[in-house]
Amino acid sequence: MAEFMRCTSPMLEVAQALLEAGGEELKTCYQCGTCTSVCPWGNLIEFSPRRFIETARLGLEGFEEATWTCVQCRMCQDRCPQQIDIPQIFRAVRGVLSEGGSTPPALRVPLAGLRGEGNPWVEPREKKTAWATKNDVPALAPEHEVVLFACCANEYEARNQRDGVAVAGLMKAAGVSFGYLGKEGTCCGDLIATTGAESLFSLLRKTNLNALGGVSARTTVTISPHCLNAFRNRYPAVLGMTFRHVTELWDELLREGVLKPSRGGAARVTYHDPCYLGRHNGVYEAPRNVLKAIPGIELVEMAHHHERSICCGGGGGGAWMERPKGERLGDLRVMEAVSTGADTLVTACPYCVQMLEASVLGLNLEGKIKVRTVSELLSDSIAQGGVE
Amino acid sequence: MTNDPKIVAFLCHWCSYTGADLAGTSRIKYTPAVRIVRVMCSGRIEPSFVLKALKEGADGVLICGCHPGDCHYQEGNYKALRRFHMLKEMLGQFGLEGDRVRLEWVSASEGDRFAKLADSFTEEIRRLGPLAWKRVGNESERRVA
Amino acid sequence: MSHEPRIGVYVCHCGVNIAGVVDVKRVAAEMASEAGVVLSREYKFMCSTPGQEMIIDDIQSHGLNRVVVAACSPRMHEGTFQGACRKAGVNAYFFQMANIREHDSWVTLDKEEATRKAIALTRAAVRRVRNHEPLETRQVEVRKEVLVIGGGIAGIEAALTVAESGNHVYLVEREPTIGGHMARFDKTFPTLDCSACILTPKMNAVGSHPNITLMTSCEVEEVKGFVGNFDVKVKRKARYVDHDKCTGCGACVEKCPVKVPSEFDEGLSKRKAIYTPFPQAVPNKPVIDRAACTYFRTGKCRLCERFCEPKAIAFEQQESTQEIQVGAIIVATGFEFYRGEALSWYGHGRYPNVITALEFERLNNASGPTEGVLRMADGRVPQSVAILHCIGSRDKNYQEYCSRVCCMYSLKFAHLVKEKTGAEVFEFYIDMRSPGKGYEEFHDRIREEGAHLIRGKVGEVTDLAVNPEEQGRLIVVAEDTLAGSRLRVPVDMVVLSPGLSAHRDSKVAQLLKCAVDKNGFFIEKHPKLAPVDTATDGVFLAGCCQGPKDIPDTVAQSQAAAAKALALATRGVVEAEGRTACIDPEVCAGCKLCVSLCPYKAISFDTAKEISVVNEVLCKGCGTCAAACPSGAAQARHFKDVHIFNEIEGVLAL
Ligand SMILES: Cc1cc2nc3c(=O)[nH]c(=O)nc-3n(C[C@H](O)[C@H](O)[C@H](O)COP(=O)(O)OP(=O)(O)OC[C@H]3O[C@@H](n4cnc5c(N)ncnc54)[C@H](O)[C@@H]3O)c2cc1C
Ligand code: SF4
Ligand code: SF4
Ligand code: FES
Repeated sequence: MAEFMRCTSPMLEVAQALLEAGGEELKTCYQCGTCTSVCPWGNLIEFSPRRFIETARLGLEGFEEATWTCVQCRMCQDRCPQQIDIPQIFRAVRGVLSEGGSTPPALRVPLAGLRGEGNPWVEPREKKTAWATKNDVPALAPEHEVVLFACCANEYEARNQRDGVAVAGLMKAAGVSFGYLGKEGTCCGDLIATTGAESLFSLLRKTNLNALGGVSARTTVTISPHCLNAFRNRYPAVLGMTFRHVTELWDELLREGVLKPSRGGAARVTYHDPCYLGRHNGVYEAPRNVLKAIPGIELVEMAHHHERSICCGGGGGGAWMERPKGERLGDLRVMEAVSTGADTLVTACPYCVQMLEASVLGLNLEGKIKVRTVSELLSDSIAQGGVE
Repeated sequence: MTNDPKIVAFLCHWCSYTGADLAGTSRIKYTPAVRIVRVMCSGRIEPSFVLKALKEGADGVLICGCHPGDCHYQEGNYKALRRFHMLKEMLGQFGLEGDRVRLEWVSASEGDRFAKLADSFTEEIRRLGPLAWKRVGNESERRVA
Repeated sequence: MSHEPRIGVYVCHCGVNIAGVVDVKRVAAEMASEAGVVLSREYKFMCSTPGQEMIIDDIQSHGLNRVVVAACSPRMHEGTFQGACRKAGVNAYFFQMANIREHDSWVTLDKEEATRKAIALTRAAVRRVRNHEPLETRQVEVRKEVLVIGGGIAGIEAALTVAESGNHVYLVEREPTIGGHMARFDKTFPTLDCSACILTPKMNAVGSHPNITLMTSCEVEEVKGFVGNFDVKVKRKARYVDHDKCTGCGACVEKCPVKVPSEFDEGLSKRKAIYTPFPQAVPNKPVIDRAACTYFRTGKCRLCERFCEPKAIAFEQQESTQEIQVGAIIVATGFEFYRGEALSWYGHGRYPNVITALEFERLNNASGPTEGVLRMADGRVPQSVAILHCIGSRDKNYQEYCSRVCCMYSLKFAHLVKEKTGAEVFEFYIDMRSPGKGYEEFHDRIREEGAHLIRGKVGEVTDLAVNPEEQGRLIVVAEDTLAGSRLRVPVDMVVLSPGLSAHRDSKVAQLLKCAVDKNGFFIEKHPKLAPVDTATDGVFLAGCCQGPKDIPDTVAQSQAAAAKALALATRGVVEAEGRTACIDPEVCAGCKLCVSLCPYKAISFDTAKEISVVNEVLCKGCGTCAAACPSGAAQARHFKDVHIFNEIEGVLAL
């Protein structure tokens, strides 16, 4: 008789483990499916955060596969009628799975890099500040008012070094009293936190808290929205410091007339909101204000912008995961950008730059559209026109 | 917990007491330090009530009435307001902090506000510490006894 | 009467409401040792008949002359227990309540703390009751007239019920016509009877009933007094048309050159500056919209005046106030249709063919802008329509509650679309809520009619096509949560079904001293046992002002509210406050301070004796005189200094 009866029973121990790991909120999900319908993955693959929640809360089979797909873009959370922190549920499940040793292979390299060298590229730690030395970026000193905190990408990766150099140049041009936090600091850990690697994240956080705890400057400016997010939302507020994104600083310096862009070269640009700058930290207008302040630049919006912006695919560890063609969120984004007629796709996050550039390459659109950062465009216009 | 502040709250029957009832029916939790005494109108509250409360061991006194214009008896709350200013001065003469008494308008629909007020006032009184009479004139002591 | 106090104390469990948090046994035990306490008990439900009988028995067998009940708020059950005391021959004012539920067990987390507070509150009551004095209550006559505020179906029904009994009703409606939301619908679920057919006769009955004074374009400005004796000021907005002279011929409306969007039609059609909101309006006489009128804007025109034969146009008309006296008030101010931010996620205001439920109602109405033909912005008849449930409802970002009627009206829409156009209907819901007589059957019928009911909340409506089939259409994106697939459904028209909101301004509630809940709806006195009463005696609730509900429930509630108002009128008297002020002639120094302070002019000065005297019929017992009296001669009965002092000692005793 028994062979004829197939049924699934809830595995409440599994469910309990997920609840205890921080998935509390999944209890109130009423399975409306709003999350699935607004999740950008729905445009490319079968992926249902709703079903993930339903299976996870009963400990049913099947939630493991979906666990690593989420890019933590927060679209679903902002729309969930039950105000469930859905990305957090993914993180909780990731934590539990990681503890059980089932971290996806693609994540093992960056995890090892961060553990050993403090950066996800497994580059030797000594190379962290080479870019700064080469480009005369001042090292942090007690008299500085502002700490410049660069992303590992600005430090170790050639493309994003250009952005870092532009940022430092602009700060100098504006006469900001700043210094770069070099070897004392380490990766902010934001991306790794989203993969559920709690203990590694705590380690990184401790290093940075020590480094920043000792400085006299009261403001830290970050180039990456991820660092911003880590400091604002994942670190305890004990530092008593203000954390700002570079685009917020530029916006202020432009309004005060300290920076005066002269020429930007005619360009039709469209702006991609990084999830961690927009939805996660509510910064939508500062980067746009900067772009609008550059003469000769025409800003057009993509079909999805501001709160509705689509993720580049890099969040939640996505930057390290290989995805087959046709399953890349970055491709979706680049195509939206191209269809606005813009020649430049501007953004304000090193990971977005990576992801979007990869998609431009993959789609053979190099001739059509360039990926730049807000800081780079501003720097161009200042360099040509000078500062007062 | 037992050396927590003690607070007497005088609430008018029509708006504020109903507001406190609403906090209850809405199951909004707030500090047990606040003990409510009902009067028909905030205009009934005399300085001697407040002094009596402080003398009996209260560390603070909260007075609540209807919002201006809403008093069930037309203007009792304005009268309460006038007396309240007198009262603050009087406390000063006794060497007490004027902030130990507070007058607030709480309507029948502001259950949430009442609960928050109870908590925030208690917090403030906790900051002021236990009440310490500095110069209690015999005269006034006799009056409130 | 000044015999030794013999007090009985009763601590109520209120099921687990109190006993789940407060150690009721300990409270009762503590009270037993208070001076004057003869017995101290705890019991499951004091307000129940056995509970009350226990008090009565104890009074008789133990010779109690004072009673304290520690239970819920006195606003809830003071009257109940006073009644029990009276029955056993104890004056009602020898009773005192301690509020250990609303003010303690429901607001305190820690059980020990809650118990201590309960002991303190009960002790305060015990200490105060010792010094109570018996008071005589007077009976005050109840006015027979009833005020109904709001003229939707709720107000209409309540007014008619009261009027039919022979009592007079004042019906105050702020719009130029009565009818409320129901007047705007075409058909009504679940029976699909035509809204106008069932509503218009009632509206006309209100307009012509000899016992109803219909006051449209009016709002309540001020309410004074108390149950049985309310004095109400009603403000009438200027209508610029003398309705006594106007015959409702409509010549003026025809001639008026100004056209503005019609509110009644949700802006889908135009009306004139002088207008009646819709053809069946009651009163069926026009008003002038000052903001739109050319004469008021530029000083020239007055065309309507020229064509009005009975000379009813009155540009000089001013806002006016009328005072009315009533014994009871029924609130029937209804709801506001949700128009908030949630609509914007679904393209309302961006795509012309995304419409709200009310717009749909108007498009479907035979007397609406399209004479009942369901048309898109370009005039075509849609081939496919999506209906989206729960817009802004059951949503913590907007309105957390379920509005109860939207599933049903959305199903009604599916039927109407099918019937009128034969279009495909896709209805997206989270949970289908169709409880009610005949409602599940209605739901079933709509399924049979072939509407596609999809379980999943829509995330987005977009015009971004990804394939030729989607080109030029609206694409509805949702997860079919039962099939587990994300759907893109191209349609021609999208209908958004939001919920019902409370009025944003709570002026009426404030005037009546009624509480509103966190969503802005009026709170009834008890959700189960007093659903149309409010905390203010003599004020009753009907319809959606109390919470979202459908027409059958609204009408039932209206009739209940009317019955409550009539019960009051029929009883004819209410007990007036025994808690008046008194002035001790031996102590009064004749300073006359109280004479000037009393808001009711209830204190006069006896020049012969040189003392002030209280007229107890006029006194309302606020106690202002007692607070101000420098000699202590003026005292507020039941709230004497000694009572308050006893209470202060009590609440601080633990
Ligand atoms: C789109 C839609 C479709 C619906 N379809 C159906 C259906 O098919 N069947 C069904 O049973 N139910 C239906 N309902 C529910 C139905 O509308 C309500 O049950 C009903 O209208 C409630 O009547 P009411 O008198 O309480 O409120 P309302 O209809 O809102 O009437 C309130 C009246 O009070 C007036 N008012 C407000 N404030 C004041 C004030 N301060 N002073 C004076 N007057 C004031 C208003 O102007 C209004 O005339 C539907 C609801 C909606 C939104
Ligand atoms: S949107 Fe929220 S409530 Fe709806 S299915 Fe997703 S998690 Fe659950
Ligand atoms: S956070 Fe973004 S990627 Fe993750 S489930 Fe939500 S919408 Fe999808
Ligand atoms: S009745 Fe509330 S202050 Fe007078």
